[in-house]
Amino acid sequence: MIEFLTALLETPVLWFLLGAIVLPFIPAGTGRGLLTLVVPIISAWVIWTAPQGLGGAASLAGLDLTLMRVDKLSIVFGLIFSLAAFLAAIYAWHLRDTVQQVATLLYAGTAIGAVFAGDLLTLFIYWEGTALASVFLIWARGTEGAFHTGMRYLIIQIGSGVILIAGVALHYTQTGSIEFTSFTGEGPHSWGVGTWLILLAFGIKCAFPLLHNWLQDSYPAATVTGTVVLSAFTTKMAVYCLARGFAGTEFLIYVGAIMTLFPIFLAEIENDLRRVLSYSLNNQLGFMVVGVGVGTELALNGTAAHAFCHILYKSLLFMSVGAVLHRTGTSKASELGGLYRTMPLTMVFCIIGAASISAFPLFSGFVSKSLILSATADNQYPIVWAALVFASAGVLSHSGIKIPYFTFFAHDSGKRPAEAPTHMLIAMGLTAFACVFIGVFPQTLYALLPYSVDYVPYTWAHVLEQMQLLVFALLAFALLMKYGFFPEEKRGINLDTDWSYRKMLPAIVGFSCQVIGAVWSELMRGSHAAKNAILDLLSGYYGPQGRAAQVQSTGLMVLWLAILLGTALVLNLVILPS
Amino acid sequence: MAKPDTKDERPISPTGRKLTVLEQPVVINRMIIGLALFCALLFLADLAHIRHGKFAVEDLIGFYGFYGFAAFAFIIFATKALRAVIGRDEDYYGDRVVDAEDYPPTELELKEFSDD
Amino acid sequence: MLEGIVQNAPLLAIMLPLIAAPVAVLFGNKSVAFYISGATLVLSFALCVYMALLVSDGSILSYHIGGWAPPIGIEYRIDAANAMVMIIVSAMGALVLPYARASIEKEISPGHHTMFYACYMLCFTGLMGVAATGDAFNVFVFLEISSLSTYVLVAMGARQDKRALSAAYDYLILGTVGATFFVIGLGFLYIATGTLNMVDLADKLANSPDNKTIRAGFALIVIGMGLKLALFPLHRWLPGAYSYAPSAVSAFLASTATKVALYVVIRFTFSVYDASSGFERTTLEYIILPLAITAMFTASAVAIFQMNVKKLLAYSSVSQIGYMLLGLTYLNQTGVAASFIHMFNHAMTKGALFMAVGMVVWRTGSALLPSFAGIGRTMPWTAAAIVVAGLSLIGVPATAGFVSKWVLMAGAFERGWWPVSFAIVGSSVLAVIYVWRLVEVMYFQEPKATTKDPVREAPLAMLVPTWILILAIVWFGIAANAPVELARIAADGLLAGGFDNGQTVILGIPGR
Repeated sequence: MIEFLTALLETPVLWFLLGAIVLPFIPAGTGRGLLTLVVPIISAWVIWTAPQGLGGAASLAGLDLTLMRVDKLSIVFGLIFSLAAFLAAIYAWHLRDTVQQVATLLYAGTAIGAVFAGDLLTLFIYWEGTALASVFLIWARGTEGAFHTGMRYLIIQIGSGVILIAGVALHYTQTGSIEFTSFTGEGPHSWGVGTWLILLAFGIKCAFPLLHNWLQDSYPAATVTGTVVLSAFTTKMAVYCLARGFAGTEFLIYVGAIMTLFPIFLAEIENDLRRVLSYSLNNQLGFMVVGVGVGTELALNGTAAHAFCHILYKSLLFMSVGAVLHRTGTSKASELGGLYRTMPLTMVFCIIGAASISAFPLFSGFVSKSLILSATADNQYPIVWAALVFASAGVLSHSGIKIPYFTFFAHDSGKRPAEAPTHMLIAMGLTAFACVFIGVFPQTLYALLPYSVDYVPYTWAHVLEQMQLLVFALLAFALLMKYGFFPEEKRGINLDTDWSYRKMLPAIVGFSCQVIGAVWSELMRGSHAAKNAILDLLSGYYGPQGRAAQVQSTGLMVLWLAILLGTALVLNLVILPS
Repeated sequence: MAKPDTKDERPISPTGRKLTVLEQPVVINRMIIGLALFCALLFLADLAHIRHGKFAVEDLIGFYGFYGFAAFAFIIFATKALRAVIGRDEDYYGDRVVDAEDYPPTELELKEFSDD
Repeated sequence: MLEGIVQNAPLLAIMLPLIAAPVAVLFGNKSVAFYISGATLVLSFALCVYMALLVSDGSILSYHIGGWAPPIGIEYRIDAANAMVMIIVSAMGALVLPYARASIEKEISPGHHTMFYACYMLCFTGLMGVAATGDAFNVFVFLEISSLSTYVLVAMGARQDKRALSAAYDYLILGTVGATFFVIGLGFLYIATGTLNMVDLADKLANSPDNKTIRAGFALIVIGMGLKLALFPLHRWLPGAYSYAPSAVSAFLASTATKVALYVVIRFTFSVYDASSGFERTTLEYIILPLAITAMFTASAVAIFQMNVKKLLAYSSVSQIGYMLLGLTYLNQTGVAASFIHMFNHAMTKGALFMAVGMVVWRTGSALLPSFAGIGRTMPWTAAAIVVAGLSLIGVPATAGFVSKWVLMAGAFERGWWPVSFAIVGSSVLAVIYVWRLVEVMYFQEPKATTKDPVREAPLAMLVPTWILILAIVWFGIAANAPVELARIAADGLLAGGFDNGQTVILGIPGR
């Protein structure tokens, strides 16, 4: 126990735990807000000053745990998680909800803990920790719909943890080690069931195709501030785990490529802008997974850099749409439009986020996505490369244009909301500044990356290519819009894989229940008569004056005893030859 | 969806007021023309042959531009078809779902814009 | 003096409460009785810890009663397996006692308090004796001591609910049938070998040719004890007995009685018989394994639908016993160790749960689910205890329950039975449901508006023992090394077969 606590002392997680314990005792207001700001700062400081190598040794059930494995890959994720927690805390300054504040601290803390976990058991503990803490951000919305969504989210997240622990157990029995290192080995054909299960667990949290829908189901259901927090941690924690465990696994390239493609179409027709952003998040994860699959130093740098930038601009987009929701009560494209009149600052920040995710030169997406694209091209994956370029145009369509255009321009919805509250503007301003700063001075980001970078994003050729791609796509948008081909935003939802468990499964279960119920009642009618006969026999045996229920149950037990003994004797004496 | 109300007297921010010019059809047309001219410029820049891609196809003049244009147009038309197939009403999964219910207003700070 | 105590530790740990019980009755004062039992139980616990330290290097303590050497004389024989069970029993006995003092104030009429302490100590003696003795017939004697006093203890719940009487009667009949099977099995063994000392038995059985008497004896012993340990479907006495007994009795029995019976099965299967092959192995794999897995699911499913929380916990116990039996059937070190760890962890978990639920009953007067409404607000410490112990029941990391399920899963993988791991996870999901039902009622429902005085937090005398267990659950969930190590040594000793590894330390007065 003491050993475990001293091990925890070395990790940034400690400060989040302490913060979460202390927070409820501070009255809601400035003091509590400051606490939520200070904890991420301390965490970043702890990460920055931590000595590289293995630390935080403890043991559980005879297994050696490593709570603090510090290397450049974990540092970059640890730092961006701390930064995201800090920015989200500013954005949530108005919050007076203890549950959400505690959940946010625990969620950020466990996600950071997972990044520094040096063994699979520690990883599992934090892995489930993120699931348990984060669901409160969905439930905090306080509606029945949010409760059900939260339950679905929790089941899938916990399920991923269960799969992970099963995989870890199998892996442990095969290799005798729970160290969290690369599983890639000789490639997929050399993996045991355990390794596949671990990959499946990572894949669920990373929203692999067909395993993705928990993300789009749950993130739009969270609170205004909750979605900003959710968007930063879970999926990027999974990306980190993939980068750590499965770098260079070739088929992940194709998985990632599919991930970049399919959300584009779903995002384009989605009406709820926070769900559009969730699809967009899924698409961006695809780029990172491709980077993991390529697995070269350049590609892994790209994955880390893209995760870093992505957390910032995705937070910024969720913040701006959240601010609109905060002021108007809706985030549906069909209900919004023309808000530039009264929310110009939010509009500017939203456009900066949109430009960053679309990877316009001088914005952060440009300097990180190019690393991945370049790595794919270097390793000659022409189809994947073409898919990624196509996806880049797609990102522009749903995140770059759709989000700001339908919120702040397009038809005037007649809504005249006030500008976002000051603290939200500060949070968005800082995040927007970070996006531009990284875009203009990419070397500051590159210095943090796991491997040394000799990549130069700002070459004439590269800028020209990207500008061509984006500006021509913009032209396409303008022309389609002008001539009325652009699909109108209307209220509605779209089917996705969640249909399988929200519609099909209940239908199947309902049908089966009817069938089984019918058969069962027939069977019961028959067996009831038989049972009654036996029971009557036994109750007669114990005398008619005894309380029927009691005598029957005791008698039945003795019957069972006799049956079991008989079975055991038959097995031992007759079936088994001596 | 409400039509823009020309007689709307409600206050809007000064920055917003300046931006309302963007809604005039003339300005919109000029912006599209400007965009087209910018595209042409980018296309012409390719003639300078300053690019050497890792795939041969990248070296085609204006490759990225046309690819971007085609991709965007494809996405838009594909999604129109897709919506017809998988689009449903908001209460498809019942009325106890996030999509069909309002965000609880007590959790928000709903506020109209005012000058002061 | 100290030397004498240390030399006679096995005897003293068991005999002190046996002597203290009539002494307490002679004084006839409930406070005196409480202090006498408190002193003896704490002393007994201390002796058990001391013995556990002695055997934690893999050696065996052998105590010859009256200096008569076995196999003629009766022997107490203690290795890591016994020590672990004795620690469970003595720790729970000492912890439940102060809780009982407060709880019986309401549940048992004042005239019976002295008798309660006496019966409690007799029950304790019986359970400790079963765990300590190295003589097969002695097991039966101690088992009867504990059973008879248990029937009385359960019947004492009649002041609260008259159904306690029929539950006790039920338990009496069935317990007696089980014990009879057991003693018939012992008779068969005696006929076949002419001895009752376990070491000697193991020796003679190993060298005797296979015969049907020995085989029938095994079946009788396992099934007879199966009833005592609530092997599914022989569990029907358990829900009634646990739910209508006084809360303190439920807590003590739920955490010790079935574990001791399980220990007897383990001891006979591995040490007296040889489970590594033959009919013993067949019995484990074809009878115990399917029943264990059925118990894990069926009993959990029944627990989900219970409206009476004590019954819910009782059915949950039946399913948890399934886990313990499951570990045995792996027949490997990890599996058997998992059984012991789960005994240890489940004793803490279920003890804490019954104590916490007892406090709610103490305040609200009913164990039915609706009376738990809103206690998250009115009895925050009690509700928090139920939540933590519930998490341990599910097997959430950082609680003791996780450690046992982890080791149990590891054992299944080692054995190559990976589908079993799905059964473990699957039945844990059922546990999530019944624990969640409690949490939902406690935290999400408004407290009932009562006309009488409002529900308040339970008294400290009950809260403190409960929270000691809760802290232990968390402690052993994080720092699990000590019990895991002890359980592994116990498993090694058991799997080696026989009951003699050549490292026997003889205590007491040698001679004769």
